[in-house]
Amino acid sequence: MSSQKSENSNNSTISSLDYFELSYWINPSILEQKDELKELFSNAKPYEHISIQHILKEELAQELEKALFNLNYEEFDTDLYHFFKTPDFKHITNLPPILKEFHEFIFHNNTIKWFEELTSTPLSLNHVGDLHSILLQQTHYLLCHDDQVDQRIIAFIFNLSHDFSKEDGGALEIFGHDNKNQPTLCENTIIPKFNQLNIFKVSEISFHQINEVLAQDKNRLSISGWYYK
Amino acid sequence: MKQYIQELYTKKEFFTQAQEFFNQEGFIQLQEFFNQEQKEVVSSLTSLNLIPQETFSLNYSPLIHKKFDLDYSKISNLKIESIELIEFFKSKTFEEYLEQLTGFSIQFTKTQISKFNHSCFELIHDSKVTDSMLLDIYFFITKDEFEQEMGGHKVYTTFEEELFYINPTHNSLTCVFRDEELRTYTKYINSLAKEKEYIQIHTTFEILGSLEEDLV
Repeated sequence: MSSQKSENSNNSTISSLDYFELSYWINPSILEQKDELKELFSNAKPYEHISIQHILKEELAQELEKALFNLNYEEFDTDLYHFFKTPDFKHITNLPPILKEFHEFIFHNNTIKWFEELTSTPLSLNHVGDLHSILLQQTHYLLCHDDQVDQRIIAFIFNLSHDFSKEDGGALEIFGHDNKNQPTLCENTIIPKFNQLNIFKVSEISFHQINEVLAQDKNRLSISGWYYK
Repeated sequence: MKQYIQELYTKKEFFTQAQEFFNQEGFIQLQEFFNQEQKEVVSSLTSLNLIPQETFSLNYSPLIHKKFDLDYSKISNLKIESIELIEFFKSKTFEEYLEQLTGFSIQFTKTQISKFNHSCFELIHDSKVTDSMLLDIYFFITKDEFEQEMGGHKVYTTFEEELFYINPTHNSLTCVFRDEELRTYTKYINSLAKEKEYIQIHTTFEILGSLEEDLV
Protein backbone atom coordinates (compact mmCIF):
# COMPACT_ATOMS: atom_id res chain seq x y z
CA MET A 1 0.00 0.00 0.00
CA SER A 2 2.69 2.40 1.02
CA SER A 3 4.83 1.77 -2.06
CA GLN A 4 1.80 1.96 -4.36
CA LYS A 5 0.82 5.28 -2.81
CA SER A 6 4.30 6.63 -3.17
CA GLU A 7 4.46 5.64 -6.83
CA ASN A 8 1.06 7.13 -7.58
CA SER A 9 1.83 10.27 -5.68
CA ASN A 10 5.05 10.87 -7.54
CA ASN A 11 3.46 10.33 -10.92
CA SER A 12 0.31 12.23 -9.95
CA THR A 13 -1.88 9.59 -11.60
CA ILE A 14 -5.06 11.22 -10.44
CA SER A 15 -7.05 9.66 -13.21
CA SER A 16 -6.64 6.30 -11.51
CA LEU A 17 -9.97 5.18 -10.08
CA ASP A 18 -8.15 4.16 -6.92
CA TYR A 19 -8.10 7.73 -5.70
CA PHE A 20 -11.85 8.06 -5.85
CA GLU A 21 -12.61 4.95 -3.86
CA LEU A 22 -13.47 5.30 -0.22
CA SER A 23 -11.50 2.18 0.62
CA TYR A 24 -8.38 3.78 -0.78
CA TRP A 25 -8.34 6.53 1.87
CA ILE A 26 -10.62 5.47 4.71
CA ASN A 27 -9.76 2.79 7.24
CA PRO A 28 -11.79 -0.36 6.46
CA SER A 29 -13.02 -0.63 10.06
CA ILE A 30 -14.60 2.86 9.78
CA LEU A 31 -16.42 1.89 6.60
CA GLU A 32 -17.79 -1.18 8.35
CA GLN A 33 -19.15 0.90 11.23
CA LYS A 34 -21.26 3.21 9.10
CA ASP A 35 -24.58 2.38 10.77
CA GLU A 36 -23.23 2.89 14.29
CA LEU A 37 -21.56 6.16 13.27
CA LYS A 38 -24.77 7.33 11.61
CA GLU A 39 -26.65 6.75 14.85
CA LEU A 40 -24.01 8.50 16.95
CA PHE A 41 -24.16 11.51 14.62
CA SER A 42 -27.93 11.84 14.62
CA ASN A 43 -28.26 11.36 18.40
CA ALA A 44 -25.49 13.79 19.35
CA LYS A 45 -26.40 16.74 21.58
CA PRO A 46 -26.73 19.70 21.49
CA TYR A 47 -26.70 19.31 17.71
CA GLU A 48 -25.70 16.62 15.22
CA HIS A 49 -21.95 16.01 15.28
CA ILE A 50 -19.42 13.23 15.53
CA SER A 51 -15.70 12.75 16.10
CA ILE A 52 -14.16 9.73 14.35
CA GLN A 53 -10.65 8.58 15.29
CA HIS A 54 -8.17 6.91 12.86
CA ILE A 55 -10.34 7.93 9.92
CA LEU A 56 -7.68 7.70 7.21
CA LYS A 57 -5.13 5.02 6.57
CA GLU A 58 -2.22 6.08 8.73
CA GLU A 59 0.39 6.38 5.99
CA LEU A 60 -1.91 8.60 3.91
CA ALA A 61 -2.62 10.85 6.88
CA GLN A 62 1.13 11.20 7.38
CA GLU A 63 1.66 12.06 3.71
CA LEU A 64 -1.10 14.66 3.84
CA GLU A 65 0.50 16.24 6.89
CA LYS A 66 3.91 16.31 5.21
CA ALA A 67 2.46 17.93 2.07
CA LEU A 68 0.66 20.63 4.07
CA PHE A 69 3.94 22.02 5.33
CA ASN A 70 4.88 22.83 1.72
CA LEU A 71 1.92 25.19 1.36
CA ASN A 72 1.91 28.93 1.96
CA TYR A 73 -0.23 29.95 4.90
CA GLU A 74 -1.52 33.49 5.29
CA GLU A 75 -2.11 35.08 8.71
CA PHE A 76 -5.73 36.04 9.49
CA ASP A 77 -6.26 38.28 12.51
CA THR A 78 -9.69 39.81 13.20
CA ASP A 79 -12.09 40.27 16.11
CA LEU A 80 -13.25 36.64 15.72
CA TYR A 81 -10.07 34.70 15.02
CA HIS A 82 -6.31 34.60 14.73
CA PHE A 83 -4.68 31.77 12.75
CA PHE A 84 -2.88 30.83 9.55
CA LYS A 85 -4.88 29.58 6.59
CA THR A 86 -4.17 28.44 3.04
CA PRO A 87 -6.26 29.55 0.08
CA ASP A 88 -8.97 27.13 -1.04
CA PHE A 89 -7.16 24.11 -2.54
CA LYS A 90 -9.01 24.60 -5.83
CA HIS A 91 -7.25 27.96 -6.22
CA ILE A 92 -3.72 26.74 -5.46
CA THR A 93 -1.58 26.16 -8.51
CA ASN A 94 1.11 23.52 -8.02
CA LEU A 95 -0.83 21.88 -5.21
CA PRO A 96 1.22 18.85 -4.07
CA PRO A 97 -0.12 15.72 -5.82
CA ILE A 98 -1.47 14.02 -2.71
CA LEU A 99 -3.46 17.14 -1.75
CA LYS A 100 -4.81 17.41 -5.29
CA GLU A 101 -5.89 13.79 -5.10
CA PHE A 102 -7.43 14.29 -1.67
CA HIS A 103 -9.32 17.32 -2.95
CA GLU A 104 -10.74 15.29 -5.84
CA PHE A 105 -11.59 12.45 -3.47
CA ILE A 106 -13.44 14.74 -1.05
CA PHE A 107 -15.66 16.15 -3.79
CA HIS A 108 -16.13 12.92 -5.70
CA ASN A 109 -19.74 11.70 -5.86
CA ASN A 110 -18.94 8.48 -3.97
CA THR A 111 -17.48 10.43 -1.05
CA ILE A 112 -20.31 12.96 -0.99
CA LYS A 113 -22.80 10.07 -0.95
CA TRP A 114 -20.95 8.46 1.97
CA PHE A 115 -21.20 11.75 3.92
CA GLU A 116 -24.86 11.99 2.89
CA GLU A 117 -25.63 8.58 4.36
CA LEU A 118 -23.57 9.14 7.48
CA THR A 119 -25.27 12.44 8.24
CA SER A 120 -28.71 11.65 6.77
CA THR A 121 -28.44 14.99 4.99
CA PRO A 122 -29.00 15.59 1.25
CA LEU A 123 -25.87 17.19 -0.24
CA SER A 124 -25.26 18.91 -3.53
CA LEU A 125 -23.36 16.73 -5.98
CA ASN A 126 -22.78 19.58 -8.40
CA HIS A 127 -21.19 22.08 -6.07
CA VAL A 128 -17.44 21.72 -5.48
CA GLY A 129 -17.33 22.93 -1.89
CA ASP A 130 -14.49 24.52 0.03
CA LEU A 131 -11.32 22.82 1.21
CA HIS A 132 -8.37 24.49 2.90
CA SER A 133 -5.89 23.98 5.68
CA ILE A 134 -5.83 25.89 8.95
CA LEU A 135 -2.84 26.08 11.26
CA LEU A 136 -3.13 27.37 14.82
CA GLN A 137 -0.10 27.96 17.01
CA GLN A 138 0.34 29.38 20.51
CA THR A 139 -2.21 32.20 21.27
CA HIS A 140 -4.28 31.43 18.13
CA TYR A 141 -8.04 30.87 18.47
CA LEU A 142 -11.38 30.90 16.69
CA LEU A 143 -14.20 32.32 18.81
CA CYS A 144 -17.80 31.13 18.84
CA HIS A 145 -19.73 31.17 15.55
CA ASP A 146 -22.21 28.95 13.67
CA ASP A 147 -20.59 28.53 10.18
CA GLN A 148 -23.83 29.55 8.45
CA VAL A 149 -22.67 31.07 5.16
CA ASP A 150 -24.34 30.56 1.79
CA GLN A 151 -25.71 27.02 1.48
CA ARG A 152 -23.21 25.25 3.75
CA ILE A 153 -24.85 22.25 5.42
CA ILE A 154 -22.10 19.81 6.53
CA ALA A 155 -18.79 20.95 8.01
CA PHE A 156 -15.86 18.53 8.20
CA ILE A 157 -12.42 18.84 9.80
CA PHE A 158 -9.63 16.31 9.25
CA ASN A 159 -7.36 16.90 12.21
CA LEU A 160 -3.65 16.27 11.80
CA SER A 161 -2.42 17.60 15.16
CA HIS A 162 -0.01 15.59 17.30
CA ASP A 163 0.10 15.14 21.06
CA PHE A 164 -2.50 17.67 22.18
CA SER A 165 -3.84 17.38 25.72
CA LYS A 166 -6.66 19.39 27.32
CA GLU A 167 -4.06 21.71 28.87
CA ASP A 168 -2.61 22.50 25.43
CA GLY A 169 -5.84 24.18 24.27
CA GLY A 170 -6.87 24.05 20.62
CA ALA A 171 -9.96 21.97 21.44
CA LEU A 172 -13.12 22.12 19.35
CA GLU A 173 -15.86 23.23 21.73
CA ILE A 174 -19.49 22.48 20.94
CA PHE A 175 -21.87 25.02 22.48
CA GLY A 176 -25.42 24.56 23.73
CA HIS A 177 -28.14 27.11 23.02
CA ASP A 178 -31.09 28.73 24.76
CA ASN A 179 -34.71 28.95 23.64
CA LYS A 180 -33.85 32.00 21.54
CA ASN A 181 -31.19 29.99 19.70
CA GLN A 182 -28.37 31.94 21.29
CA PRO A 183 -25.22 30.05 22.39
CA THR A 184 -24.88 29.35 26.09
CA LEU A 185 -21.93 27.28 27.31
CA CYS A 186 -19.62 24.60 25.96
CA GLU A 187 -21.30 21.19 26.27
CA ASN A 188 -18.75 19.00 24.51
CA THR A 189 -14.99 19.39 24.18
CA ILE A 190 -13.15 17.54 21.41
CA ILE A 191 -9.38 17.49 21.92
CA PRO A 192 -7.52 17.48 18.58
CA LYS A 193 -5.87 14.20 17.65
CA PHE A 194 -3.86 13.06 14.69
CA ASN A 195 -6.04 11.48 11.97
CA GLN A 196 -9.36 12.51 13.55
CA LEU A 197 -12.42 13.53 11.53
CA ASN A 198 -14.97 15.89 13.09
CA ILE A 199 -18.26 16.42 11.29
CA PHE A 200 -21.20 18.59 12.24
CA LYS A 201 -24.40 19.79 10.66
CA VAL A 202 -24.47 23.52 9.99
CA SER A 203 -27.61 25.23 11.25
CA GLU A 204 -28.76 28.23 13.28
CA ILE A 205 -27.63 26.39 16.44
CA SER A 206 -24.30 24.89 15.30
CA PHE A 207 -22.31 27.12 17.67
CA HIS A 208 -18.70 26.07 18.14
CA GLN A 209 -15.24 27.49 18.69
CA ILE A 210 -11.60 26.46 18.85
CA ASN A 211 -10.24 27.50 22.20
CA GLU A 212 -6.88 29.23 22.42
CA VAL A 213 -3.81 27.13 21.74
CA LEU A 214 -1.73 27.37 24.90
CA ALA A 215 1.07 24.94 24.02
CA GLN A 216 4.29 26.66 23.04
CA ASP A 217 5.62 24.39 20.31
CA LYS A 218 2.63 22.53 18.91
CA ASN A 219 0.87 22.89 15.59
CA ARG A 220 -2.89 22.48 15.51
CA LEU A 221 -3.07 21.48 11.87
CA SER A 222 -6.19 20.50 9.96
CA ILE A 223 -7.82 20.25 6.56
CA SER A 224 -11.38 21.47 6.68
CA GLY A 225 -14.25 22.39 4.43
CA TRP A 226 -17.97 22.24 3.82
CA TYR A 227 -20.48 20.39 1.73
CA TYR A 228 -23.40 22.40 0.39
CA LYS A 229 -27.16 21.88 0.20
CA MET B 1 -10.89 70.48 37.32
CA LYS B 2 -7.50 72.15 37.15
CA GLN B 3 -6.76 70.74 40.55
CA TYR B 4 -7.11 67.12 39.45
CA ILE B 5 -5.88 66.78 35.88
CA GLN B 6 -2.57 67.60 34.25
CA GLU B 7 -2.22 71.36 34.02
CA LEU B 8 -1.22 71.07 30.36
CA TYR B 9 -4.65 69.61 29.52
CA THR B 10 -6.47 72.67 30.86
CA LYS B 11 -4.69 75.38 28.89
CA LYS B 12 -6.44 77.35 26.15
CA GLU B 13 -3.68 76.65 23.62
CA PHE B 14 -4.01 72.94 24.30
CA PHE B 15 -7.76 72.98 23.55
CA THR B 16 -7.10 74.66 20.20
CA GLN B 17 -4.55 72.01 19.22
CA ALA B 18 -6.65 69.16 20.64
CA GLN B 19 -9.75 70.18 18.68
CA GLU B 20 -7.70 70.40 15.48
CA PHE B 21 -6.24 66.92 16.06
CA PHE B 22 -9.61 65.46 17.06
CA ASN B 23 -11.38 66.89 14.01
CA GLN B 24 -8.68 65.52 11.73
CA GLU B 25 -8.13 62.07 13.27
CA GLY B 26 -11.48 61.35 14.90
CA PHE B 27 -9.87 60.49 18.22
CA ILE B 28 -7.46 61.83 20.80
CA GLN B 29 -5.67 60.10 23.69
CA LEU B 30 -4.44 62.03 26.71
CA GLN B 31 -1.74 60.15 28.61
CA GLU B 32 -1.27 60.71 32.36
CA PHE B 33 -4.68 62.37 32.44
CA PHE B 34 -5.06 62.81 36.16
CA ASN B 35 -2.42 64.65 38.10
CA GLN B 36 -0.89 61.88 40.14
CA GLU B 37 0.74 64.29 42.54
CA GLN B 38 -2.69 64.87 44.03
CA LYS B 39 -3.13 62.48 46.94
CA GLU B 40 -6.88 62.19 46.40
CA VAL B 41 -6.45 61.20 42.78
CA VAL B 42 -3.75 58.65 43.49
CA SER B 43 -5.92 57.24 46.24
CA SER B 44 -8.98 56.94 43.97
CA LEU B 45 -7.04 55.28 41.13
CA THR B 46 -5.41 52.85 43.53
CA SER B 47 -8.70 52.17 45.22
CA LEU B 48 -10.45 51.33 41.95
CA ASN B 49 -7.54 49.12 40.93
CA LEU B 50 -8.04 47.12 44.10
CA ILE B 51 -11.76 46.47 43.71
CA PRO B 52 -12.24 42.83 44.68
CA GLN B 53 -13.08 40.38 41.88
CA GLU B 54 -16.46 39.56 43.47
CA THR B 55 -17.62 43.12 42.82
CA PHE B 56 -17.53 42.28 39.12
CA SER B 57 -19.90 39.81 37.46
CA LEU B 58 -18.98 37.71 34.44
CA ASN B 59 -20.82 39.00 31.38
CA TYR B 60 -20.37 36.24 28.77
CA SER B 61 -22.40 36.13 25.56
CA PRO B 62 -20.29 33.97 23.22
CA LEU B 63 -21.31 35.87 20.07
CA ILE B 64 -20.88 39.30 21.64
CA HIS B 65 -18.41 39.61 24.50
CA LYS B 66 -16.70 38.14 27.52
CA LYS B 67 -15.82 40.60 30.27
CA PHE B 68 -16.53 41.34 33.90
CA ASP B 69 -18.95 44.20 34.56
CA LEU B 70 -19.10 46.13 37.81
CA ASP B 71 -22.10 44.91 39.75
CA TYR B 72 -23.86 48.09 40.85
CA SER B 73 -25.77 46.21 43.54
CA LYS B 74 -22.43 45.79 45.30
CA ILE B 75 -21.27 49.35 44.76
CA SER B 76 -21.89 50.26 48.40
CA ASN B 77 -18.97 47.97 49.23
CA LEU B 78 -16.62 50.20 47.26
CA LYS B 79 -14.35 52.71 48.89
CA ILE B 80 -15.62 56.25 48.71
CA GLU B 81 -12.67 57.20 46.48
CA SER B 82 -13.77 54.68 43.85
CA ILE B 83 -17.35 55.92 43.86
CA GLU B 84 -16.16 59.50 43.51
CA LEU B 85 -13.98 58.62 40.54
CA ILE B 86 -16.86 56.80 38.82
CA GLU B 87 -19.18 59.74 39.50
CA PHE B 88 -16.61 62.14 38.07
CA PHE B 89 -17.07 60.64 34.58
CA LYS B 90 -20.82 61.33 34.78
CA SER B 91 -20.41 64.85 36.10
CA LYS B 92 -21.35 68.13 34.43
CA THR B 93 -17.78 69.32 35.03
CA PHE B 94 -16.40 66.44 32.97
CA GLU B 95 -19.05 66.96 30.27
CA GLU B 96 -18.04 70.61 29.95
CA TYR B 97 -14.39 69.63 29.82
CA LEU B 98 -15.06 67.25 26.92
CA GLU B 99 -16.98 69.95 25.09
CA GLN B 100 -13.94 72.18 25.25
CA LEU B 101 -11.70 69.31 24.20
CA THR B 102 -13.75 68.24 21.18
CA GLY B 103 -15.69 71.35 20.20
CA PHE B 104 -18.97 69.43 20.34
CA SER B 105 -22.07 70.01 22.39
CA ILE B 106 -22.76 66.67 24.11
CA GLN B 107 -25.14 64.91 26.47
CA PHE B 108 -24.29 62.06 28.85
CA THR B 109 -25.75 58.70 27.77
CA LYS B 110 -24.28 55.92 29.89
CA THR B 111 -21.25 54.65 31.72
CA GLN B 112 -20.01 51.08 32.17
CA ILE B 113 -17.13 49.89 34.34
CA SER B 114 -15.62 46.59 33.23
CA LYS B 115 -12.63 44.44 33.99
CA PHE B 116 -10.73 42.60 31.22
CA ASN B 117 -8.24 39.78 31.64
CA HIS B 118 -7.16 36.55 29.88
CA SER B 119 -9.81 35.24 27.41
CA CYS B 120 -11.92 38.42 27.53
CA PHE B 121 -13.03 39.99 24.26
CA GLU B 122 -15.70 42.14 22.58
CA LEU B 123 -16.73 41.28 19.02
CA ILE B 124 -18.04 43.59 16.34
CA HIS B 125 -21.79 43.28 16.64
CA ASP B 126 -24.51 44.77 14.50
CA SER B 127 -26.54 45.89 17.51
CA LYS B 128 -23.70 48.19 18.50
CA VAL B 129 -23.98 50.22 15.32
CA THR B 130 -25.34 53.63 16.12
CA ASP B 131 -27.79 55.84 14.22
CA SER B 132 -26.55 58.98 15.93
CA MET B 133 -23.09 60.44 16.42
CA LEU B 134 -21.47 59.46 19.68
CA LEU B 135 -18.44 60.29 21.72
CA ASP B 136 -16.81 57.17 23.23
CA ILE B 137 -14.70 57.97 26.28
CA TYR B 138 -12.35 55.36 27.70
CA PHE B 139 -10.39 55.68 30.90
CA PHE B 140 -8.09 52.81 31.89
CA ILE B 141 -6.78 51.77 35.27
CA THR B 142 -4.18 49.03 35.48
CA LYS B 143 -0.95 48.14 37.20
CA ASP B 144 0.07 46.17 34.09
CA GLU B 145 1.42 47.04 30.67
CA PHE B 146 -0.38 45.43 27.75
CA GLU B 147 1.70 44.83 24.64
CA GLN B 148 -0.26 44.62 21.41
CA GLU B 149 0.54 40.92 20.84
CA MET B 150 -1.31 40.14 24.10
CA GLY B 151 -4.59 41.65 22.85
CA GLY B 152 -6.88 43.78 24.99
CA HIS B 153 -6.64 46.85 22.77
CA LYS B 154 -9.70 48.53 21.27
CA VAL B 155 -9.84 48.50 17.49
CA TYR B 156 -11.90 50.98 15.48
CA THR B 157 -12.67 49.83 11.98
CA THR B 158 -14.84 50.46 8.95
CA PHE B 159 -15.96 47.63 6.64
CA GLU B 160 -12.88 48.26 4.53
CA GLU B 161 -10.03 48.81 6.97
CA GLU B 162 -8.92 49.05 10.57
CA LEU B 163 -8.41 52.73 11.37
CA PHE B 164 -6.74 52.92 14.78
CA TYR B 165 -6.07 51.11 18.04
CA ILE B 166 -6.43 52.24 21.63
CA ASN B 167 -4.08 50.60 24.10
CA PRO B 168 -5.31 50.16 27.67
CA THR B 169 -2.69 52.41 29.27
CA HIS B 170 -3.03 53.33 32.93
CA ASN B 171 -4.44 56.80 33.62
CA SER B 172 -5.07 57.57 29.95
CA LEU B 173 -8.24 59.20 28.63
CA THR B 174 -9.31 58.53 25.05
CA CYS B 175 -12.10 60.29 23.14
CA VAL B 176 -13.38 58.75 19.92
CA PHE B 177 -15.88 60.23 17.49
CA ARG B 178 -18.17 57.38 16.41
CA ASP B 179 -20.74 57.48 13.63
CA GLU B 180 -22.71 54.77 11.83
CA GLU B 181 -19.74 53.72 9.68
CA LEU B 182 -17.40 53.00 12.55
CA ARG B 183 -17.36 49.67 14.35
CA THR B 184 -15.33 48.69 17.36
CA TYR B 185 -14.07 45.56 19.07
CA THR B 186 -11.75 44.57 21.89
CA LYS B 187 -9.09 42.14 20.74
CA TYR B 188 -9.21 38.77 22.53
CA ILE B 189 -6.70 38.75 25.40
CA ASN B 190 -4.48 35.74 24.94
CA SER B 191 -2.33 33.73 27.31
CA LEU B 192 0.72 35.95 26.83
CA ALA B 193 -1.08 38.40 29.11
CA LYS B 194 -0.90 35.81 31.93
CA GLU B 195 -2.39 37.43 35.08
CA LYS B 196 -2.56 40.93 33.63
CA GLU B 197 -5.82 42.82 33.79
CA TYR B 198 -7.26 46.29 33.39
CA ILE B 199 -10.33 48.20 34.45
CA GLN B 200 -12.10 50.27 31.84
CA ILE B 201 -14.50 53.11 32.51
CA HIS B 202 -16.41 53.49 29.25
CA THR B 203 -18.64 56.54 29.08
CA THR B 204 -20.78 57.44 26.10
CA PHE B 205 -22.09 60.87 25.17
CA GLU B 206 -24.47 61.73 22.37
CA ILE B 207 -23.20 64.52 20.13
CA LEU B 208 -25.90 67.19 19.87
CA GLY B 209 -24.03 69.53 17.55
CA SER B 210 -21.03 71.78 17.23
CA LEU B 211 -20.41 74.33 19.99
CA GLU B 212 -20.36 77.03 17.34
CA GLU B 213 -23.18 75.88 15.08
CA ASP B 214 -25.62 72.99 15.02
CA LEU B 215 -24.63 70.03 12.89
CA VAL B 216 -26.86 69.30 9.92
